[in-house]
Amino acid sequence: MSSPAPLPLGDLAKLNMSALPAITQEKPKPGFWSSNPIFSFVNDVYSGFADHRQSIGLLNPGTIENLNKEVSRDVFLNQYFFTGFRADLNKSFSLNPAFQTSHTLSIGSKSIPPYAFNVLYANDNLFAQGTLDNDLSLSGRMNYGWTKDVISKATLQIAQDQTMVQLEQDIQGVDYSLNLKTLNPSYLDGDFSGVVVGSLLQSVSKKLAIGLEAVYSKQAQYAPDAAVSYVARYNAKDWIASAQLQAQGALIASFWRKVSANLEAGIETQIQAGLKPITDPMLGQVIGAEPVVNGVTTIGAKYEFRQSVVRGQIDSEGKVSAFVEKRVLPTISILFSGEIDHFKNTSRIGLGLQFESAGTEQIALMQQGLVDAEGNPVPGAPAIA
Amino acid sequence: MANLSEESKERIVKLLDTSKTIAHYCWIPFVIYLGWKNTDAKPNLINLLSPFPAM
Repeated sequence: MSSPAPLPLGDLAKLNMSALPAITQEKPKPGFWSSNPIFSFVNDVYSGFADHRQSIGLLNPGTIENLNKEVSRDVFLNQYFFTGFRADLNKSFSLNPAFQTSHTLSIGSKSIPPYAFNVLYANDNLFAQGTLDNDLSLSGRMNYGWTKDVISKATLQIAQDQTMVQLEQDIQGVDYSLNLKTLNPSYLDGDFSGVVVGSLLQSVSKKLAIGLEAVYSKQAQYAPDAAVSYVARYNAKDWIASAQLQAQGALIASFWRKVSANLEAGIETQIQAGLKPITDPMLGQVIGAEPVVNGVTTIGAKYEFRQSVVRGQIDSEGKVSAFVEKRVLPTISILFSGEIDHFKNTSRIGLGLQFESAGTEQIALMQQGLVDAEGNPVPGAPAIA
Repeated sequence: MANLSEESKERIVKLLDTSKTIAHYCWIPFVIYLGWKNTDAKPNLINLLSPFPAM
């Protein structure tokens, strides 16, 4: 029995292996549509362009909606701030797909209704959510992902006297994000009425992305209105700077920085230029307009501890505010929010409790930290009785 | 779309109003049904709607 000559190590190219049929992609056979001279020229140009685009290695810049998300939504507490007392009772029935209900009770707040019921269902490509409050006003939202990068969204809000429908289409390319949305579109008044917004954010280098957003709005009996805003975002991993020049004359610049593993800080400046009408002091008539410029700067920080999150911010209008979220038990968190306006001498305060409960026994054990998502006991956790 | 007759316009408005009412009262039950159908645990209605834990 003669053994084959040993292969020299490291010379895999000499291995006599045919390409695996499942891995090598067969090129589609050229048919009339791809082989005629015009189309093949167009295809060549397009694929050359696409190859070149791939070779630059640009990344998707995120959406315009999230342009300054790190500052205005993560670090600043505007989104989390509430007043009065509130209690959230969340109940999970399943984690994947996610299915949970929540009851929110609140007193002493202008923005949160006294009672609201919320239900959420989400799997890999569908997200559906609805909230109904004690006035029977409904807000519903549904997102459907056709692929990972093409997502359709619908939002519906029905209150007693008004209805709002928003349809949105999100397309995320390799190096750009395109978003088209329309608000209350209607043709019933004889002509189009509603709002249409189109926005595009394009990466121009590995870190810099620029974009613009165009808004066209037409309401019945009013003249149509169109506006374009320009945006830019520079993302250098541990710091992000972004700027927006809005058509109404506002300039928003923000800067976010990850100071350490747990600490993030952000600063935002808004400059609003506008026209203020001048009234005649004797007659009380409007005799002209003067340009006014208002500016507000806010600086804030967010610190994440193991069991709590602390946010604080101070702005140039004399407002100091803080928001603390502390997990006291695996299933109970306490929320505190407070704000003091030093210029107006006013203050606001909010206290809240969040309960996480479970609809099934396994979720309950998971919330207590006794089992993991697959139902296996967590090492080190006390034995389940 | 300016050539819609008054009658058909009225019909469309009526249709939109009806669909609005349906969406208003059926959206939450629909989402609850979606969740109930697609999760392994089939919680009963009281468990679904009560804020208290099941156990």
